[in-house]
Formats: sequence, structure tokens, C-alpha cells
Amino acid sequence: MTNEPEVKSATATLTDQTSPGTAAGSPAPVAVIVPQSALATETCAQSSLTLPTASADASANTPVLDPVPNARTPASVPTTFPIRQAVEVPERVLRHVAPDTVPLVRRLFKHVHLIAGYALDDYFDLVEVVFQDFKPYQYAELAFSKQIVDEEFRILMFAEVQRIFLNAEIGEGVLDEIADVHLAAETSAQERTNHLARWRRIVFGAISGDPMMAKAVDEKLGANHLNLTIYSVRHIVGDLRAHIFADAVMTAALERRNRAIALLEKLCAERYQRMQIREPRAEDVKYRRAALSLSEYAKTLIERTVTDDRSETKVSQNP
Amino acid sequence: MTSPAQIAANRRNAARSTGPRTEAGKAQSRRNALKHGLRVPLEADPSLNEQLDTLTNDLARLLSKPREAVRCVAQQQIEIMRIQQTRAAIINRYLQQRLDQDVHISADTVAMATAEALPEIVRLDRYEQRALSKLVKQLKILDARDD
Repeated sequence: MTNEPEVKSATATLTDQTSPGTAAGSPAPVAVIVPQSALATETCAQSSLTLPTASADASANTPVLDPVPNARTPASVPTTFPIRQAVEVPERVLRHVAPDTVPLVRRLFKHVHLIAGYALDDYFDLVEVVFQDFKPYQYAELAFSKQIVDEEFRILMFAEVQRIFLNAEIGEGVLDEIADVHLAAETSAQERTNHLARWRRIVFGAISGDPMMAKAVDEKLGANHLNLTIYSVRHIVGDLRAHIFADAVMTAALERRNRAIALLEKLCAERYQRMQIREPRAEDVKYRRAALSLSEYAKTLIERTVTDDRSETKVSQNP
Repeated sequence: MTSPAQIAANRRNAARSTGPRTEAGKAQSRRNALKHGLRVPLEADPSLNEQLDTLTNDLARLLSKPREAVRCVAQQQIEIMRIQQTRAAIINRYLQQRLDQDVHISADTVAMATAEALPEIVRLDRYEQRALSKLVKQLKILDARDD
């Protein structure tokens, strides 16, 4: 089942760096180069998934399912980047926060924990978007902003994983077995792959809790349309298990992100409210009095004249 | 219930057991049951303790609050950081395994390595959830303080 990769990738290595913060001496997390040109065929070791290839002949076998909407793909970066390395927050990000907050931002984003395959610039793009929207001012707001960015980044990564699951082909043996049950012998390979991809999406939907999909699966199983052997079931269950895990991680990340957004919005709203309805303190009264007396004094310095209509002469109005 | 004779026999057999004898072997077997190490308190790890002290000092200075007031916040912040690091380390371990097999790295490779790491990653979610809840609580306490 494992196809030989057709494209040789550019150099891509993991940089191992002992991390003082990593628990129990596990290897330090690092970001990884992902050359976009090096799309190769891989087979998942734990399941029967086979990834579609970037080559022209393989594109014919790629399922035509609509991919899961994914706003961002892993970016290519020219070098490896050890995660524990202290990073400098870009100026474009700092522009969106109050000058007093800049040291806090620098401290909070000093160590960015990138997930493999993603670039630092992408991370700070997201930070910039969140800062633009929420304009964090206090430490709590900054902490929640960071949480939102981290969770969003994770969601993007798992969206990619889910897309691959949904677009992956079912292993050849399983494919033949199911295809023979459902389709006529003269069905083309493309149609057969599409059919299986559609079927796969129905099962994934059923597992994720979609009642319509579950009903569709029940009907098919009830009518004995899925005549699967233990071999096929084992592979498909493996795929589903991975899909369920991805779904669980994604759901948890979404929940945490939404919670952080709700908390941040609440904090921002409270801040604006405080600014608007705050009762004047003794300090404010003092400043206002000072400002009033200053304006009264300033009035005396300004030459105020009116023009007499009859004589058309200018008459001073100053006291 | 185990009889005294059985207990004595177990002890005799255990005395003949060939466990790890070298220091390296002992060090390795000591970590046999280690899954991710997130249940270890921050204070037990000297390096994390050092990071915690640094962050506490920085926050105390930047927020103009006493050290003891910001320490709990810093603790949860470091805890979240530790979980994120562990997650990235797990994914990278699977990725490294693929690279060791001379597999060419690509976006799909990274995604597949992530997929393989999923069963381990799922376990970390509840730790992160808990740390985040504690952080929110500590931030509220910090906000309510009038120092």
C-alpha cells in the first residue's frame, strides 16, 4: 500500500534542543520546515488511510469531496525554528496595544509554542487580528487574547488533519470489497472513489452525531448493503477512531476559544463602561477647575472685537 | 485474602528478582510509567520553578502588584505553557519517527504525524481546561485586590 514518494523534498530536519521547561526530559518542541513542493504519498501507520498525491496520475484517484473549509495552510519557512527560543514581538503587533501595555505583551509572548508545520509569521498574523479586534489593555485581557490565538492556531491545524481524513482514500482491499457490493463492475475508478468518499463522509457524520447521517448508515446497514468482512471493519474502525479523536480535540479547542472570547468581551465591555460612568474623583475635579480657570484666563488674552453696523468701526469686547 | 505463607513466599521470590542494577538502568526504569509528566507539580521541577520565579517577578514589576498576588497567576500561565510544550513535543516525536524512516516531510506528513499523535494529545485537553479555569479564577482574584 505504501507508494514510493515521487518528489524528493528539500532539506527538512528537526532541531532537537533540550528544553528546560519540557516535562521529564522529553524532546523540546520545535517548528518544522514544510516545503510545499514536497507533497508525497504517505500511508498512515495506524489506519488504512492513503493520502492523495500531488502527482498528475494520482490526481485522477483523488476523491472530489468538498474539502473541509480551511482558511490557512501550513506555511513554508526557510529554516527550522526551535520553539523555546525567545521571540521578538513584531512592531506591527505592538502598534495595536497601548504603549503602557507593550512590556506586558513582550513578556507574555516571549516564548511562542508553535505546533509543527506552522510558521511564526502566521502566528503573529493571528495575534495582530485579535489585537485589532479587542484592543487588550489589562493583563487579563492580554492573557485571554493569547489563549484565543493559541486555540485558533490549534483549530487550524486540526482542520487540516480532518480534511486529510475526509479526502483520504480507503485502502485498496477495503475499497474493492465495498465497491463490489455497491457498484456495478463497469463503474470507473473515479466514480468508485467518489462513491466511497461520499460513503465515508456519511459514516463520519454519523459518528460525529449528525442524525441524518446516522439514519443513512442505519438504513444501509439494515438493508445489509454494507457487506463488510472483519478485515474491512478493522481498518474502517481505525479510521473512525482517528477521526473521533480529531473531532474531540477540535471541539475542546473550540470550546476553550469561545470561552476565552466571551471572557475577553465581558472584560472589554466592563472597561468601557467604567470609563464612561466613572464618578469624578477629587483629582478630576481639581483638574477640571484648573482647566476652567485656565480657559477664563485665556479668554482675556484673546482679542474679541465686534463691528458697529452704523459707524463700521471695530469695538473691543474685552473686559 | 493472601495467607502469611504466600506473603513470605512472595518476599522470597522478590528478593531473587533481577531488576535493574546499573544506575542507567534504574534511571530508565524509573520512568517506565511516565506518560506525559503533567501531574508533576511545578515546584518539583527546578527549571519550571526558575521560570515561575522569573515570570512572577516580571508580572509583579509590570503590574505593580506584590509578588504573592501575581504568583498564582504566573503559576497557571506556566502550567498552560507546559501543556502546550508537551503537546508540541508529542507531535514532533511522531514526526521525527517518520523522518527517521526517510519519509519526505510535507504538509501532509505533518498532518499524518498529528493524526498518529491524537490519542496522546486527547489526554492533555482536560489538563489545559483545568489550568485555564484556574487562570480565570486567579485573574478575578487579582483584579479584585486593591494593592
